[in-house]
Amino acid sequence: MAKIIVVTSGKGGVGKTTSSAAIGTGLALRGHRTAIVDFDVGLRNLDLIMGCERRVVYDFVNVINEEASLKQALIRDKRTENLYILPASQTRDKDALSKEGVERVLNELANDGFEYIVCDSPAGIEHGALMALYFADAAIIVTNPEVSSVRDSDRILGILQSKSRRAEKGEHVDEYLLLTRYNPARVSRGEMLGVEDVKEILAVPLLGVIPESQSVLKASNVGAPVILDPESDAGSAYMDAVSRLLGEEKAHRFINEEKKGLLKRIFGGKKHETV
Amino acid sequence: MRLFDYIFNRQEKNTASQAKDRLQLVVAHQRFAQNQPDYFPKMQREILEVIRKYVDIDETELSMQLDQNEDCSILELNLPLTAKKVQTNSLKSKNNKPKAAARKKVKES
Ligand SMILES: Nc1ncnc2c1ncn2[C@@H]1O[C@H](COP(=O)(O)OP(=O)(O)OP(=O)(O)O)[C@@H](O)[C@H]1O
Ligand SMILES: [Mg+2]
Repeated sequence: MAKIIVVTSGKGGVGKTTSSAAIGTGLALRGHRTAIVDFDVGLRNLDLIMGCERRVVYDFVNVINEEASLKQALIRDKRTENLYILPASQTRDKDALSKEGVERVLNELANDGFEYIVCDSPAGIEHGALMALYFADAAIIVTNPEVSSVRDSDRILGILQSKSRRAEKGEHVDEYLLLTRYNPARVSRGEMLGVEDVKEILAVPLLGVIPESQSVLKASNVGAPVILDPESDAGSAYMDAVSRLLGEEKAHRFINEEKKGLLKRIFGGKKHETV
Repeated sequence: MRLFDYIFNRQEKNTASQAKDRLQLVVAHQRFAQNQPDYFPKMQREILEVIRKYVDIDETELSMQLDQNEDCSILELNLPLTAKKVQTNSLKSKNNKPKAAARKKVKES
């Protein structure tokens, strides 16, 4: 049985695509056959983050419209085994994703032996975002420690609980909070909402805390998901989140400001520096 | 993990220039796609299908442009073939067979 995971947020620019790429890659690294599907029709970006933009020939909408087979449109990742990417279309027709079409493609992926299908949702609560979450078994709510992001996450949680297929059938969708762009130093100075604050407001189990990190920009520059950079704080935080998604217990890291020792203070800490 | 070291260290100092190179390509594609006629993507795919029947190609290397001048339009298609040099006998074998058969038939008749 394939597990369909939507990565969603309501608010734009909080790190959905970064997280979809990292978590999808992480699941594949752990040996699970995984497909990452870009639902952001008209504003495709997953291909750039995964570094496969030059290999896009067919896309999700082509498969829905039966202009290409799923096999033709799926891009096999060149770095990570078990990993495939289904790019979004650049069409301006935002209703191009029909519910029936999306369902057919997801079923075909499941029948093809994919264990995880990670759906990278567009921002907002319009058609594209609804299609991305409708078939989900689990939802990763990407949230920044910032008021509008937290409010929008709550809004999207409400939609998951009322408008998803599982909700319509009276079943529940597994919900996970992924707090990204977290800056422990600012939290301890009282300038930023802390993990506990956000957890308390949203009341959703915490999948992970991804620190604000320079490694994310670097990874997107070269088109390699940040989880492939095991030295980086963000990369290891995503790796931990993947372990938790797979049911393992992992203590949360990168939540507290790293106290720099004297030597580090002089020579500069390198690994876990935050922006 | 080795691979990542390779990707990142190759130009460790300057991932930004890699980003710029990648973006220039993508943006050029995107701008072109915005102004192309609606039938263009489909035509492009069908042309590719036909070429693929005869020779091995890497479609990611394809560049196809429609230049509109005042009095004429030019369709320009550039596609490096996977094989270094395509010779008549290096065409995909499955396509050679029917050809040979066809020739025979002509002789027989
Ligand atoms: N942990 C992080 N540290 C630093 N920068 C980050 C982090 N996570 C994401 N970013 C940056 O935030 C920006 C938005 O990220 P991303 O594209 O993943 O968001 P998104 O939610 O998919 O956006 P959209 O709603 O437009 O689809 C990018 O510039 C990305 O590099
Ligand atoms: Mg995105």
